[in-house]
Amino acid sequence: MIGILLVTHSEIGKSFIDCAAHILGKSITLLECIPIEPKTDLNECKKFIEIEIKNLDIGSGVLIITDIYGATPSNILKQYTTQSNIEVVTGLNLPMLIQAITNRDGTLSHVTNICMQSAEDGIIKMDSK
Amino acid sequence: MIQKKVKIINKLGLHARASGKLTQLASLFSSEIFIIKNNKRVNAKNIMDILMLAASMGSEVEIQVSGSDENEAIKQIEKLFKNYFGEGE
Repeated sequence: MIGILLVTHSEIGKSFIDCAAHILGKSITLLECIPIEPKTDLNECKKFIEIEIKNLDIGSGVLIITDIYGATPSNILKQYTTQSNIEVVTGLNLPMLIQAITNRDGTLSHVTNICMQSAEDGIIKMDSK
Repeated sequence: MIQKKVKIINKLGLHARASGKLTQLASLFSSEIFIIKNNKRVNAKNIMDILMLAASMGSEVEIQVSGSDENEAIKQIEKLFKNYFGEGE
């Protein structure tokens, strides 16, 4: 099973995890979050990320999802993209997280593709019909 | 293959939590299970696919089950719809 780590501005990640647990009706294993606050020490943060990667990787790798590309969380995560056991995706939304959680028995690249596709599919301009 | 039409009677319709329950139940069976609404046919084992139906209270969907455990699957799924997805209303 692929581990999932959310690295986000403030407590957004925790809220997403709470929502996913509510929707799926259970607590979710191998899913953690790291909040980054304005005063967070970035070196400390890297340590936490590395600890979580170790905890979450049980052999299939870790999918890291962050919120905004180009912001501090994604800039910190850039260095981990060279590791073969890690994929980093930006643009966190609930559809992508739900799909990642419910499709993580395959390969890391497979769940990453599903995750990105569902992020896009979940954005719909609603009409009156 | 078994096909059956069911009406959504719970107040919130096939919302996120109800879709989650449907997905979990459908995943217990080896049969292929689809939900059809307005010619849109989705995999009942995928929560985001079900949510894309945006099926609210009063709408009618068709359950389509095909496989070795199809009889038990259709029975349990129909029961879930008729039990208001366990939501009481």
